[in-house]
This record gives sequence, structure tokens and C-alpha cells, in this order.
Amino acid sequence: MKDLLKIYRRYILTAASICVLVLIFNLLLLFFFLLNQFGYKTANNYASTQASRLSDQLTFDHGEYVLSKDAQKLIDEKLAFAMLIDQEGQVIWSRHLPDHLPRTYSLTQVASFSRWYLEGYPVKVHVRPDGLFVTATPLHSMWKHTVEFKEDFMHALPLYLLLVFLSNLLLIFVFALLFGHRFYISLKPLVDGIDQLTGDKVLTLPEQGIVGNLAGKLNKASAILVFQRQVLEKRDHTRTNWISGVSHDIRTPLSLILGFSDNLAESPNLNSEEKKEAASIRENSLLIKRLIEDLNLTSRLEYNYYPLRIKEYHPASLLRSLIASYYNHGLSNQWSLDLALDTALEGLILNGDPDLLLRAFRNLTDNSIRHNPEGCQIQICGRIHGDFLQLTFSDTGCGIPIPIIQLLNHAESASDTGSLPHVMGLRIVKQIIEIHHGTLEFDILKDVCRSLVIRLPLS
Amino acid sequence: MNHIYECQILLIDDNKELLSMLTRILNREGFTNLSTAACCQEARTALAKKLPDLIILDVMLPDGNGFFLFQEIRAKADIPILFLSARDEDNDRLLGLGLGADDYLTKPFLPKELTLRISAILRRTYLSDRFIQSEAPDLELGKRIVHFDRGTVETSEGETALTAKELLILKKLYENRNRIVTFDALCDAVWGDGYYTYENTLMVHIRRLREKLEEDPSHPQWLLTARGIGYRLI
Repeated sequence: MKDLLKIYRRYILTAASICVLVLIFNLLLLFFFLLNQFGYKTANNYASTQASRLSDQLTFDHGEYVLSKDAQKLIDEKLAFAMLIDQEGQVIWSRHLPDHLPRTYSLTQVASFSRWYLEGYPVKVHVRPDGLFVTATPLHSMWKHTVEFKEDFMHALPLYLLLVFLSNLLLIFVFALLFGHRFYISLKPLVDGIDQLTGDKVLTLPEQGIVGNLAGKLNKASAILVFQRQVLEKRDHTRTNWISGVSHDIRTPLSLILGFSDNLAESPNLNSEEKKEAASIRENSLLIKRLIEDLNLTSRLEYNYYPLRIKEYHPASLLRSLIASYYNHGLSNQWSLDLALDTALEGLILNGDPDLLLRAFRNLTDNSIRHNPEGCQIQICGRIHGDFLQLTFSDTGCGIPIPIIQLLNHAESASDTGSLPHVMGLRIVKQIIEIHHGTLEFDILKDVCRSLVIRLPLS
Repeated sequence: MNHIYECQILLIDDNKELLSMLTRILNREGFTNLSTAACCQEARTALAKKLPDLIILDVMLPDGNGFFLFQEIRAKADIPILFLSARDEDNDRLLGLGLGADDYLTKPFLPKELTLRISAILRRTYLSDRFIQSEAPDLELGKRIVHFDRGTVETSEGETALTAKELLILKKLYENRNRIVTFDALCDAVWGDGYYTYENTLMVHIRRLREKLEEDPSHPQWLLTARGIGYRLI
């Protein structure tokens, strides 16, 4: 509807602009035409229109009529003939009067030609004391017609002109609407098609009408996109399945390693050094276990194979349970976990996958603990900042190395990731936050990042 | 049955090494009445001979699916079953638990975690009556004794009654003794609602509880505050 209104508006504006331009053009044309006509009358047809002036130059002198030389020249060059008819209808003077024309005219004949034509010659007359002076221009040189209107009509003419103008405007408006609607209807399949380009199906827009060519191109583009999407999905699916399959197959052998190493670590038959080695195998097996889980999760998140369980959650409660779980699982004294929440967070309820978010928060906290074995203070602050819930995770430890941050921020463009450090935990955090339409920012101070900020939209 | 270690446990997994390892782990923890099956058929034969007290069941078996075997077993007897599987997808976990399994543990697992989960299931299934009977013991906090059954705190000067809310708070803290119970968990247990709008109410109840439990409520020894998180009963 919005598009339709836009098209209507554009059409009406265009039509109005065209009308104004045509009107101006017509006025100019009319002006030039009239100017031209006026010029023609003054320059080329002077004699015919100014019969009176010619008549003035015909004088009666010593018993005969004498025409000035200028007037003679003018008649010779521009007019067909000129004559003077006396009160009785006799031609008493003439110049170039054709032979086939009568030399005597009745009252009826005079009345007949005085306004229009004499035997096809357009004539002009001038009444003078000794008769009627007649000038004629060549045959077919002038068109004459009598125009008659009722006086009432002439009085109402301005109103009629206004009505004509308004009815024209209305007609233009209706046509603009009709053509606009027609244009919209012809464009609608294209617009719908563009909207559906992101879908899974190949477009089959009708390829007729004025946009048929465009529709055809859109259909082809859609087919290419769907094909590419299918290829990408197949590749992603294969990759995710491969990772999932490998991680599945590695699980049982890893269970054996973990179980046997645990047995050995607890065995009374081994000396302390051997027990230490067995414990190391157990710890590293746990590390592999976590890596497998992270790999699986990051792969599923990256290729959208993770089934999100979106529901309402209470961020303050989630963070409290996070901190409590660390203390309840025996967090060593060298680490301290503090939670500072703004009171505004208490009533805040958001939509999201709380298990996944908890995983992200846990990854960040685990990082602070794992990378600071000598201990540190970890603080989580929460507040509402604009339209976002802002969570700041900071610690007093060694901080996140800058290359890690660079790698995380430019992971997609890095071609050789083999030589780069692994950032699985942080990548999962970033993926989880992005799934929730949030952002993850690293607060770098003096080349060290000891604080990162998560922003989650409130709506 | 006097003890959970008397229970008979049937282990069903296609990996014989894993079965052997599980046997050793459980033996080490005190479970001696164990039997194993490497496929569905062997499991059916073992079940036909004698019904165990607990089954540890893998999902992917060479001659069938653990979920189907689970339904088959449950159709005959209501035996507690713990799934132990390499399938870690949420859907598998939810399917297993949705079918009615008592627990679902994914491989690789910590031996200790497995034995703790087994113990919890067995205790819940076979010793719950006894547990319920001793569910509300008295709680000694220094010179004071909390009688949960009577809802009172006994001191040398006599008995002070606890209000219903105070008792609920104290029970929740006692169930999680030495662990931090978040404000949210406490409010949920007492009012069935979140912490929001109950902040001051909870604080007032805790203060009154301390007046009844502590020698010096301003410097509590037993009911401690985990700042910004919750409370902990020592």
C-alpha cells in the first residue's frame, strides 16, 4: 500500500509537471504565432489590411484619379487589384482589375463581397465620400470566416474556460491514478519476487507485460541463488555432520581413557609420580572432552544447526545462579567472583535461550580462571544502557592477548588459521551473543584487554 | 534392602572394554552385584533370568536402538534406567528423558559423576521411604537447635516459634547446606515467584531468622550473606 501511494504520488506529480510544461509551451507557441501573424500583417499584407491608407493615397485631381507611386508599387507587389466603386455601383477607378470581374456592382453584390470574397479574391473595403475603395489580395491568400457567439456565452466564457481547465485537471488526475495503479500492478510481482529471493524456492514470475524482461532476469537470478544456497547448505551440513560424527566416535574411546586414567590415579598400587601422570591423562582427557563439546557447539551455531530454545529469562537471576554455581563447586580462594547489578535489572525480563547465554557467561568466567592460575578478582557488572542490557566481565588477571581479539574479530578473513591461536571459547561467546542480536566488545586499555562488554537488546 | 550397594546393576553397552571399565569403577565404589550385556539380545536374556535394580543403557547397540529397548523393558517392569550414550545432541537427551529415563549421561564422563548419579537414583528409588522418615531432623546451630517438625528454635531460655515463611527459608537453606542459595531460588521456594518485588521482604525475614538463630545477629555465624547473590547456611 505504501508503494502504491508512492507510485500514485509520483505519477500525479509527473502528470502535473507535464501539464504545466505543455501549457507553458502552448502559451509560448501561441505568443510566437500571434507575433508572427501580427508581423505578417504589418510587413507583408499591409495593403490588404490597411485599405484606408491606400485609399487616402488615391486622389481626384484635374478630373482624374491619381494614385501615389508608393501605393502603386505596393499594389503591384502585394495585392491582386484595387478599385473604386461609386455610389451607383460603377467602377470609376481600378488597377489590375481582372477582365472577368464585373465593372458594375449591385447593392447585393457589394453587400456580399464587402466582408469576404469577390469571385474568390479576399477583399477589404474602405468607405470614402466618392464611393467604396476595394483592395483584393491574390486568390487563396487569406481565409475568412464569420464567427458568431451568443452574448451570454461570451460573458460566461471565463467561467467556461475555468471549468474546462478544472475538468482537464480532473481527467489528468484520474488517468494518473489509473496508469499508476496499472504500473503498480505490473510491478507488484517483481517486488514480491525480490522479497522472495531470500526464500528456498525458485521464482517463477510471469514473463509477460512491460516488466516481463525484468521478471525473466529475476527468475534466473533466483534459480542461481537457490542453487548456490543448496550447495552451501549441503557443504555446511556435511561439515557439521562430519564434526558431529567424529566427536561421536571419539567419545567412547575417550570415556575409556578417562575411566582408566581415573582408576590409575586412585590406584593404591602406583607411586605418587605414576599417579600424577595418570591424573594428568585424566585432566587432559577432560580438556579434550571440553574441546569436542565446544567444536560441536561452535559448528552447530555457525551453520545454524543449533535448535534455539527461546523463552523469557531473568538476566539477574541467571547471573546470580552462575556465580553461586562457581562457589558451590568449590571455587578456590585465590579467585573471587563479584556481581554488581543495577537495581533496574531486578525487574528485567528478556527473551532468549538462557542455557546458551549461561554457557557464554560461563566460558568468559572459565577463561578468567583458567588463564590466571595464580588467582584474580573477577567482576561481572550489569546495567541498562539505552536500549541494551550491558554486562561487563572484567578481571585483574593477565588479560586477553590482542592477537586473540584480532583473530576473533577477523576470523572470517583469516586464510591461514593453522598458525593462529585457538579461540574456541570466545568464538562461542561471540556466536551466542550474535544469535541474541547483541554485541561483544573488548575494552582495550594500554594494549591489554581485561574487560569485555556484552550488549543485549532489551526488545 | 538396607543399602544401595546391595542393588543389582545391569550394564548394557556394545564396547566390551567400556563394560569392563564400568565394572571396575562400580566395584571400586562398592557395587558388587553387576552383570553385563553387549547387545539387545544379551540384555533380553539377562532380563529374562532376573530383573536388575538398575540398568545402565547405551543408545546405539549393534542389534537395535537403546530407546526401543528402553520401551520394551519399561513395558515389562518399572526398573530405573540411566542412559549412558555418546549421542550428545539435545534431542537425544530430551528423547531419553522424555521416554521416562531416570537420567541421561553423555560420554565421555567422569567416573565419579557416574557413580554419584547411580547412587542418587538408587537412593531415590529404593530408600526414599526411609529418607522421608528422617527428612526433618533437628538442626544444631551452636547452642541452638532447630526443630523442623515443630517449627521452633530451642535455646537455653526456651523455645521460639518460627513463622511459616521463616521455616520455608530455613528448610531451603538446610537442603542446600554449605551451598549458596540464590535470592531467586529462595523466593521461588517461599513465594513461588522471582526475587523482584520481594527484595525487602526476604531481607526482613532473614533478619528475623538471624535474631532467632544467631548469638549475635549483627555478626552472623550460621546464616551468611553471599553479597549480591544469596544466602548460605553453614
